[in-house]
Amino acid sequence: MKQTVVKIENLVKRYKELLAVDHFNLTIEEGEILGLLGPNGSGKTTTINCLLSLLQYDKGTIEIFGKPMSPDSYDIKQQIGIISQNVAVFEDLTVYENVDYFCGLYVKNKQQRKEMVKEAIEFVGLEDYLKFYPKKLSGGLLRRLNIACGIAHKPRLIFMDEPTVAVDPQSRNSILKGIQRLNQNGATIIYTSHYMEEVEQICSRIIIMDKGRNLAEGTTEELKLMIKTGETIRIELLDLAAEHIANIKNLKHVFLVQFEDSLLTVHCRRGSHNLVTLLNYLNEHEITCGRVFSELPTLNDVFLEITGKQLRD
Amino acid sequence: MLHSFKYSILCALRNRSQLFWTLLFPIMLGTLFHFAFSSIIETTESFSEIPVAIVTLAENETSDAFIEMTRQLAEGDEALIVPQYTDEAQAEELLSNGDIDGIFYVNDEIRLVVATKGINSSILKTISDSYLQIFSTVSNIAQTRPDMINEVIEKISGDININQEIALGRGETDTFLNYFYSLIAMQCLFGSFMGLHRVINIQASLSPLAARRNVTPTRKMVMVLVDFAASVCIQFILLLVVLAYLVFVLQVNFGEQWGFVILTGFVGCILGVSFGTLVGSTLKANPRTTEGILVCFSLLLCFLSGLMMQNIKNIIENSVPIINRINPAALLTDAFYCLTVYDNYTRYTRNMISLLIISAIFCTISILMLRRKKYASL
Repeated sequence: MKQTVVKIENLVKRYKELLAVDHFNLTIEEGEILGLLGPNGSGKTTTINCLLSLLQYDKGTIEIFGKPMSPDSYDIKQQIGIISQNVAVFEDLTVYENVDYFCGLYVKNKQQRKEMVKEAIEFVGLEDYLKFYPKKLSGGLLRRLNIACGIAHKPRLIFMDEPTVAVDPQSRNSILKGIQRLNQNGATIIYTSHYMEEVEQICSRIIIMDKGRNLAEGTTEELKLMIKTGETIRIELLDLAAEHIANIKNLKHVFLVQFEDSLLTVHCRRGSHNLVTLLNYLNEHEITCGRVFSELPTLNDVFLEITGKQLRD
Repeated sequence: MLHSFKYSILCALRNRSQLFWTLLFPIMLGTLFHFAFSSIIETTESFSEIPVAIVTLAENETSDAFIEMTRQLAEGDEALIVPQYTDEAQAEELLSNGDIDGIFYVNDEIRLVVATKGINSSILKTISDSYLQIFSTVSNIAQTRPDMINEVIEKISGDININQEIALGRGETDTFLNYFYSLIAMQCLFGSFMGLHRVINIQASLSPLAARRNVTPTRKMVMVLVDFAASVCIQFILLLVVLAYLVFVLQVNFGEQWGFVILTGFVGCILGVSFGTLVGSTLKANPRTTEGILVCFSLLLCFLSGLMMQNIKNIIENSVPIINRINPAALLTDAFYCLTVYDNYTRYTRNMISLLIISAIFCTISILMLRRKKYASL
């Protein structure tokens, strides 16, 4: 049976009038990559900061590795790595020195530390930049340094708070592969991000948070089953009369029809033969089609349907 | 601990902005002071002996008294003039050759001829004016109240005695030295930038870097102490460099007691770093604002200790002396002054105790603020 690495019960955190975390519960098993999704201000970072005992909270209990987490839990901290959304390194230390400094706060043995620093630097691919100062590194390299500083001591539990913000696709791909390797090597990872495809790619379980609450939880497939949209069909048409739009709306499983700029968009509930039914209708009424696209819902659709489409701060 | 200390030292040494304020700026300001004051000092030194010719055109009471006065002014270690008693033709030749700065023609009255305008000419003019003023006063009294003449002469002599300069201690009281002492005090207070930067890297509410350090298994108080010690060490080394520059390059006199001078500097460094630590741990502004406040406040303290205007310290001493007792910059300046001037250590010890008490208060409050375990917001 897998060990419970993190357990949060009934966590409440207020910033004066604002309820940032609202009776939040969470359990993470060893070996998971948990994706914490949510719009800006949904309480993801606040939850992580409470977990790390950096923030005071109003109510609830937090346990890590089966022990209550407090600022003095040095034995727990020994096994934790943190990669924050803002790069947290010393501007006046080189790449090597930064990684060595942070590793040295966990590992006292010099020889062992040297090996670990070397491994971490190789892991993020910064071998050619050992003597570079952070300000000389590109955004992607800086993010990789930020990761190396957080993982050099080989933590069992890693917190990654939007580690790929403002990173080019190549660096992002490299970082994501690295995270998967860390997980394969036994690390449990809590990963927050706004990038749905990243979460979909690497997370074994996802929690969607908003207004400090857990709105939905499960694997990507489980989350997709929770929403109304089962399939979205897009067809290029020269023209479509209002009468046909109304008829299509009445087809089985269809719940929303839009026709804009010669593109018909039909949202269907889960069900079989949605595309065939629609194409048959168009054929029967001699409506000429252009290209046809059929899409299953993405995590982005799940996210927008659960958290709403209104703009956030 | 040694690991953290090493990197804390490296960070402090590589921070160019800190190095500018704590090393280059004091050196630049010291050099500026040196060139500004040296021309004044050189001029002051040349006051001592002004070559002058005295030509007696007619012998009478006035000429006798004036010649007697010029002889007195030419006597001793601090002679003001070098008189040559000669005739009119030779005196004019000496003046045209530039061998003398002026000629006193002595008759019933005193007439002064100078070659060029300048400080020496002004002094010669002052001598003749003073003589004429005193002579006129004594003559008037002799005519109106002859019975009072001895008393008046005694009084004039008495005034002269009262105004005589008496050395209080071992050293010389150079007017401009206080500027350099205030400069060192400023350098010590600028150590507050290091203290502030260390706090920014320790308070999780102030930077992501500090948040990362707070979740490591290294105790926060260990980090605070290591960073503090590293900052004081670097600040002290920079102070020694500035002191060496002032003493060996600019030839500023810090007295003979080097042990005490260095001790004072070291206490100043502790005070500076603890001041920055206090400000960083108590003010809730963003780091840039806090740094601005620190620069302004440090310069204000230095201004009050006489960095920009030497008289200010005396004005404060006469009006609000408590400020001089609690202003760290004034205490440091005064401690250096005491080491150069006084034979005993009473005032120096009082200054040092005050500095240590202030540092202890700063450190205690900072530790109480920094030991906070969790933050209300980040």
